[in-house]
Amino acid sequence: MAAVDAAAPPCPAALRDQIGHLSLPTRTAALLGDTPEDGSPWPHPRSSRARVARSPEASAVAELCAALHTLVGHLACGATDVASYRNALARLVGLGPGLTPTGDDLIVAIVAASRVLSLGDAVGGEPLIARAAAEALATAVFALPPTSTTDVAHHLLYESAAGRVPVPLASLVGVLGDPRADRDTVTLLVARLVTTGSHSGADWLAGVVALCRAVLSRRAAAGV
Amino acid sequence: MVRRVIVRRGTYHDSARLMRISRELAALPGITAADVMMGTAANVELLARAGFERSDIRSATPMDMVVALTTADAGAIPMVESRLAELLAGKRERSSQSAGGKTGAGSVAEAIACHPAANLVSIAVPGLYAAFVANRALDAGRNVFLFSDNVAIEDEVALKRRGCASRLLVMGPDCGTAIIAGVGLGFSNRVPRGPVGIVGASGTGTQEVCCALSRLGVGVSHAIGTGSRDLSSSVGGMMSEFALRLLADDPGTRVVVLVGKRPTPAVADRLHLVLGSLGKPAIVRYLGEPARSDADAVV
Repeated sequence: MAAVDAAAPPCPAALRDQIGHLSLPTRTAALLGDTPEDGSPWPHPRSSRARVARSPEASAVAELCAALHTLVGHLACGATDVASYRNALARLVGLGPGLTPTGDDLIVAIVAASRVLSLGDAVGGEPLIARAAAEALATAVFALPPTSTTDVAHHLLYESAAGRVPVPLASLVGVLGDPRADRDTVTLLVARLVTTGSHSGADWLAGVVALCRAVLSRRAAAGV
Repeated sequence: MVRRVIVRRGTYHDSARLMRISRELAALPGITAADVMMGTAANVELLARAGFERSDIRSATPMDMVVALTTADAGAIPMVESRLAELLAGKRERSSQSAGGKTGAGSVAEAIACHPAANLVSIAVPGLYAAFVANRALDAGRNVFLFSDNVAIEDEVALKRRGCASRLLVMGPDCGTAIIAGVGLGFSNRVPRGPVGIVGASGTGTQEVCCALSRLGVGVSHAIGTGSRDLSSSVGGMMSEFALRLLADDPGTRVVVLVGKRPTPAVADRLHLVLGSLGKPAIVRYLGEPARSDADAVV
């Protein structure tokens, strides 16, 4: 585990460049709702295969995708009421396959990324995510009951709210929006991340990318 | 289409293993889909909405493995159960063979099955998992020696409440030493058996008392460790009180000793009342404080 921190407040332009040029694994893309049906064993929520099969795992992908976008949407809008985060988390926690269920991995990554993105921006302006919003999310994560998920996942969730996450994830979020982190550096960090665990790394990447996209989309809509 | 759930209690493997199990089972003849998940509330709800019988999965917990099968042939299910048992047994054989070629149990239930006469389970696993394993021991009606630390205080309180209600010892967490009926647990000293029963919330304090008595030619009936936090306000001396009452009922114990750091006044007062009610001479040693010999006071 490593502390979540960044050498410098994130720069929106650098973040846009980093996220826009990422090559995403199939699993990550499916969770984000990106790719069309590709016959992969991890069905896209809108794929015909997913609709016909209605397998629990396919249903989980659809629910995870929707819940993920709700949570990152709250952060991007600067929501500060803990209750809204509690409700959003309830749709994710413990959901999906794995000893650390996918929903929990998404939360861990979003908490980590929100901590960095709530630092003031590079030119001394407002942070990309309101500090109070990031803190409200962490508060809600701290309050998750141990019985809501597996012991291992609950430990990771608690640690993430306390500002500590697995090293590969800390390494990636630490360079978010850092102009000194060129594309090769980010590509290398992403490659290390997605090879962590059997799927946790890909799920963490989905959480990070979803939050970054939500923040950047909101800025674009506001003409910033 | 038949939907059936197999729940394997207390069976947890890393995600890669879960995925391999899922793929192996899904590849069996007659099986349409095999989803392997942990029994979290969210996944139980997911499976119920997917058409699996809620009564089959309601009792699953987050540390239970749930295999959700979809098949057009109900007759294929026994084959899946057999293959699942093979896959899980194969993992255990590899694990135990990697430990010097000796076969070993992979769970508390298996360990008890190998040693049915054992009335105590000694646990030394990472703290994250310790409460779970201790609860499995209590499920089986066994006393617990819990060497592990880094256990949440809430878990310690819950374990000790459960132990007291079931009249089972929960020695720990963070219990480094105990002697039960002459058998040393954790780090302990080889001392003679005798009439002094000890309840210790301090491992080193317990060892010192045992050794001091031994140097005087006095033996120990039992030295029951409680873990370092038992006398804290949160735990309230719960296991200390239970252990003291056990020693009061033990015909081999003629004198009782309580050793540990001084607790809060509320906890101390209550334990002193308990000591006074045991019907046997009682001595309290609060570490770091000067000894008193006031015959009218417990401390």
